[in-house]
Amino acid sequence: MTCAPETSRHLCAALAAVLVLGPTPARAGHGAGDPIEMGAVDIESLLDLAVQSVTRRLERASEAPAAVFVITGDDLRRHGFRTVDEALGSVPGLFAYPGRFPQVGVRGLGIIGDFTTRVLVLIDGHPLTNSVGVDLGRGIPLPISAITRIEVIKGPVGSVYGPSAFFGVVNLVTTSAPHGAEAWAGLEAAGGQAHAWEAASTWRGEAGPAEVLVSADASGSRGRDWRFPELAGTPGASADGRAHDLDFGDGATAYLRARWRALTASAACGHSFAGLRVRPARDHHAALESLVCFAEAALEGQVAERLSLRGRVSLDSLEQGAGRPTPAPPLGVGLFRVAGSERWVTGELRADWRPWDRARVDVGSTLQLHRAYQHTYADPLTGVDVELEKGFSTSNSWAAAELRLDGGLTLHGGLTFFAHSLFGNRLTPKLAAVWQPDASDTVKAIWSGGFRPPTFVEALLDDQLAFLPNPDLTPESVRSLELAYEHRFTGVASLAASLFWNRYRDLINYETVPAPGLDHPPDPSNPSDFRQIGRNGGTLDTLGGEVALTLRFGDALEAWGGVSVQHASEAARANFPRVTGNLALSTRAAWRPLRLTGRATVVGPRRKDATSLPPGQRAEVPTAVELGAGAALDVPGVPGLQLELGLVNALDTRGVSPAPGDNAPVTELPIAPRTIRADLRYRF
Amino acid sequence: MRLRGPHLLLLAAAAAALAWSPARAEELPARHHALLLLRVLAYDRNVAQRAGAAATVVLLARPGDRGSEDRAEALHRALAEVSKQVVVAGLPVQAVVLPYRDAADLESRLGAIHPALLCIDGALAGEVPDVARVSRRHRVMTTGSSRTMAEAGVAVALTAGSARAVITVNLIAARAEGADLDAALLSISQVLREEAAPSRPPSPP
Repeated sequence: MTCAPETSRHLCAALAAVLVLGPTPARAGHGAGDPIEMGAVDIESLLDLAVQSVTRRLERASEAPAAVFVITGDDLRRHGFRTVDEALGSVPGLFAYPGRFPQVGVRGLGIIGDFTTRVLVLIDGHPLTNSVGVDLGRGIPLPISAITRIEVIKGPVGSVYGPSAFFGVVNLVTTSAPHGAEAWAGLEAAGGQAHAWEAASTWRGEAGPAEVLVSADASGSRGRDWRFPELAGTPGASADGRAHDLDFGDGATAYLRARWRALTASAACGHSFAGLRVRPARDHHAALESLVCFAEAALEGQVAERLSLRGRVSLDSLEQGAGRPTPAPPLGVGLFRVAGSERWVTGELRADWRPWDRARVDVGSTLQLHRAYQHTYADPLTGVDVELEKGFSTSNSWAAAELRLDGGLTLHGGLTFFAHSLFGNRLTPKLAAVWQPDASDTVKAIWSGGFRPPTFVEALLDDQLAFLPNPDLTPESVRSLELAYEHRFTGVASLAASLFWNRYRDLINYETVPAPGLDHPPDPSNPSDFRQIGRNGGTLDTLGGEVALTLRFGDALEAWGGVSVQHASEAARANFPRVTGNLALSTRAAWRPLRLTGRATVVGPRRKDATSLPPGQRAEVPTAVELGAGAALDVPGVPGLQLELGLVNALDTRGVSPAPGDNAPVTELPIAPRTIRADLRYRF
Repeated sequence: MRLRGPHLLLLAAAAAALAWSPARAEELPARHHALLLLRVLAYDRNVAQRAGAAATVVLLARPGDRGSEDRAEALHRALAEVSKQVVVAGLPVQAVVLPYRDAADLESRLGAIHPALLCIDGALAGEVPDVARVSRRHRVMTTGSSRTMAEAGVAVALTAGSARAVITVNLIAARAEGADLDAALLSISQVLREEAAPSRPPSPP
């Protein structure tokens, strides 16, 4: 029997799925030995490439049991994104916000001082998230030019990844890219003068028997001018609160990935040094420096026809140091420094078993051994010298199953047991159903959970200047329900709509409290009378909806955008926008060698942290709008050479976000001023 | 507090990244590539007329170029695997790896094999005009691995677009090779309607 042309569309899609994903012959709906007519296979399903983040194995994006959004490497280049936070800020439902380093909020939740400890960031599946945080700006040890796609999952995926996938997952993928080399260099100018440069190079190809990727970049900035009205007239500040060349810095990253048969090895290192953004004036000592490195080896193999195993071991290291000048004793503590590190080893083993064609079972376990260290010190006269070292271990064991039923229905179930040697154990479930009545429509219903223990920083960091420890913190948890629908229009457009509800318990937020041991009542105008402390909140419900549209008309128009509207049960929730919107578009319609791009982000009003709000300050920041534009020219006569011009914050608006409490008296952090970018890219 | 050592290492890595060798075409995973090739072939309404008793796919590689030969071999294995499961226009699928020496050699071999599809490896991008002249005489539809190859005269290019595969169709080349591609394929493809300039070798992708 052959698959007749009148075969139903969902069967055609199913045929494509089993053909693409099944290493062994699998014939949904066919008798043994019946060949499948290729003319009956849904080509849309073949064009739909796979994502890996949702279940940690390749599956088609439309079938993954989660809300997935993918930014391609071409998207990154065509819009001139310099850093991961810039790219993520264009994803429907996400919004970027500044802090000590750039972070992103997901579906309204952007916890001030989160340091990206609730979004799991992966490089080719290797987790970067740690107890201190991930700098989504220059702190990721991967040149952005090496990225071939960014997979974004919104919503908790704790049942697969464990606790750090609390708000979502961001997987930076470097595989499945063309072989060849790319060199790229760029300049940035703001306020009428060039202030930053960056250069990167990437090579993919074969070295001996191995398939190899090597990528590296370096950047430098002398800083831009920033204005903080709250600082106007304070000691060391100008009369209008403007400070020159504040966010100076430099950085460099390198990434190496090699694959030989079933063995994959990767290593990465990234170093960044950046001036603190909130200061009355430039001071080279007021800076944050970090060095992030990891090395991983993974081996996978098929041990039986329906059973494959994968193991990996890795070593991660994070070193961070920060300096903050204060007045000399007795008015201050002199140059105040915090140095910290975290190192951990990971071992993981997982098995992928297909007991029969329609079922799949994935079981595995990850074990990590951590050692975290913190050293705080200042002028010897002050006696500020605190050292803290702590070791802890975690284990994450999971079992996930998938069952394909007739009618295009697939059921997913998963259970994860996570154990933390300091903060206890938790069982996290997940249930999902994905229904594809035909090749164009997908309906997903997802019920999932998440669990996150306090981080080392939240529970134990005692820097004697800004943060207090709180060892009584308890783990956070979340239950999430999502109903999503996606429709494809003849392969060139897709529309996704989602309704979501999340119930968070015991979310940890930083609050501003009077410093212990004061011999006088705390003075609201004196930041040194206050400290930050992490505290558990109660129950928080968020309810919302999201619509996203993607258009792929080739040269004529490529675009994506969306709106997310959400409500929080906690009326005064800090940094919670009720509306976020994003749009990115590009076209070559005018002249093929010239690509024009535009993008916009809108983040609705957000409340500031009430506990750190000085008298006389507004309690809410207004809607922030940022527009950007760009043009890229394929230089005629020089194949592979591209000249790019970009404009960031084209309207030079002063969109602001609520500031963390340790920036007092500053309560608002602005986006970067209008910036011009000029880049040269050569692919060969 | 500054860490200078890492910069030196990273700069060395940057230099190493650029010191290596030439570029290659954009690639799809082999199994995925094989299925897409066959699905595209099935969109040709003339495939049964052009093919013989089987839908034969010739994988053209550059001899002596290990990368090219490896890619062709990987695609051959993938086609051999999926050929156990699928047919195209009711015809069984076969695959053959063929080293490309010159147009005259290809001419003689194609006459014996009578293929329906000629898959040209990216390492042969510079030979597309010569190959295309032969394929048009033998009414064999050609595929390549980059848009540049389609612009140079290959009928269909399949490339990986990170999240989605991209099909580029050179409509004039496809017709010259005797293919009658269904409008359903064109509606999801990037279609080139200009005549290729066969005398100008394409640039490397």
